[in-house]
Amino acid sequence: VSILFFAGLILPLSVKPAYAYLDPGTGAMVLQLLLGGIAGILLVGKLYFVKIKSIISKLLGRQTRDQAAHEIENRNKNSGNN
Amino acid sequence: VYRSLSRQAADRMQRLDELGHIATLVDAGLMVPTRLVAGVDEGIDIEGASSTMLQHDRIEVMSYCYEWPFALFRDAALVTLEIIECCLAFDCILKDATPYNIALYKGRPVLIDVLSIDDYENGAPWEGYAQFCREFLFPLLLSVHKKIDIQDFLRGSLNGMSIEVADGLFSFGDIRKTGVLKHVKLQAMFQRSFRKSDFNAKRSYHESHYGKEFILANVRGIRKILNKIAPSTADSTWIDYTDSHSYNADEEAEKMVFVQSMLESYKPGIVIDIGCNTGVYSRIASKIANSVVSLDFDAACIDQLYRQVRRDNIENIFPIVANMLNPSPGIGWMLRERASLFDRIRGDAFLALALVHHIAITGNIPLENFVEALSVMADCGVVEWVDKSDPMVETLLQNRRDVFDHYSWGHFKHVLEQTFNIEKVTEIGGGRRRLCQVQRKRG
Repeated sequence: VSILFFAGLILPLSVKPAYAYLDPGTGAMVLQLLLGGIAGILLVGKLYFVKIKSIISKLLGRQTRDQAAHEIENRNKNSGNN
Repeated sequence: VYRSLSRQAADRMQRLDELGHIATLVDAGLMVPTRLVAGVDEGIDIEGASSTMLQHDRIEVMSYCYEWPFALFRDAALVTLEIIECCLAFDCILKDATPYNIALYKGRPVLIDVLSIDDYENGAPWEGYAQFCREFLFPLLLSVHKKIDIQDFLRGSLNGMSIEVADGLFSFGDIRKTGVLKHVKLQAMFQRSFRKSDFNAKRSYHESHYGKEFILANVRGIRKILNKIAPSTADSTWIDYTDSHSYNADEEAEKMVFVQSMLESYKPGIVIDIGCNTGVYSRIASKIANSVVSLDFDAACIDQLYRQVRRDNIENIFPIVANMLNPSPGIGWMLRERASLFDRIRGDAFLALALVHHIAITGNIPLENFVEALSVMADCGVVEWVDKSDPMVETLLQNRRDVFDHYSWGHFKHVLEQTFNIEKVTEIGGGRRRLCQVQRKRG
């Protein structure tokens, strides 16, 4: 039981430090994009559209195993840069 | 004060200087007077650094944003924005936007970190915007809209207030309040949506080819917000103290003469006015001393003093929000990044007028410790004894049990004489109050 308890404590911790690499200014940067006028509004709108589309496709289970594997591969490539 | 430069920074500063931009900022009262000098001429040689150095005028008294009243904090934010506007005109920008780069110089907030002026690459976003929000805008908005003490908050947080915290403190209903919808709620929404996504907002910004006029529009928008917001001072019980204290006009005049004669006999360089209220005596001291550090725990009083000092162009008063019962500690790296109040400020003379009862009775600090604190502040000064028979002390004791048996003139005099020579005593109001001019014993 105690092992489970510690695992429960440590697991979330092991995930959390990743947030330290998140840019605290992303929201500020997107806001500046938006303030750029109609082009900015369109761009931010497009970003949300992409987000909603990916949520819907996930819900519909369109994401095949191949796609998922491809995505993981891409992510690994990206994280190699950090 | 000298600042050594890397070769790269030296090139940048030389270019700014040759184009007259440093002079423009200094003349506009936005930057501490700064000159480029050759290290050799000043007898300084630092290995690996450029031979060119910056020489700044000295900041007499350093105070930090968690000791500033609202009006000074807001002025510091406005100065930062003005510098950005100014810089953009000659294709430069401020890399950072933090109140720690601003200091009070001759009664006005000015930029002291000249190196944070960097080249502006056309089409780049304002990188300092997020930091400006965290360290200036959010604390100011929360101070006005939510009555949060900015001093307490900033003392606990070296990097200001994150967008997530600011967002959490404002409810949805607050979006009608000045500045909240765009800079807090909308920004927080974007932060939530995109902080974990692969989307590179900075690259998109560059690709969108926005000019610097977009940054200018944002900066001007924030300036408008800052000029609109104002805190309510109605809550302070201390702001009208000068009208409500237990003195009559004659006694007040007598007190002023006493303080003035001490100042004239010692001619101190720096006077620390502890518990200055709205700074009546600070202003007297400012005419004689080089600098006056005015401390009071009531932010509204210090706010009023700062605004008067600015209005009357008094250059040598430094208004600081500081509670003697809990003064600013050292914070940041090794607790030395920002020094504690006592490590930073030392005077040649102190004024401790109508203070002792607040420390000894309200704060429950023994008189011995009170006198010790005075001796740490300066070697001489005026301290006022306020007796239990004084109406102000009676008010303090109204709602608490009188356990202060040692609180008497006899005991105070005894304690005072352990450290100081009492050079002059004047009774005011039949012994309700006593003014003591003291000087530290030698040896």
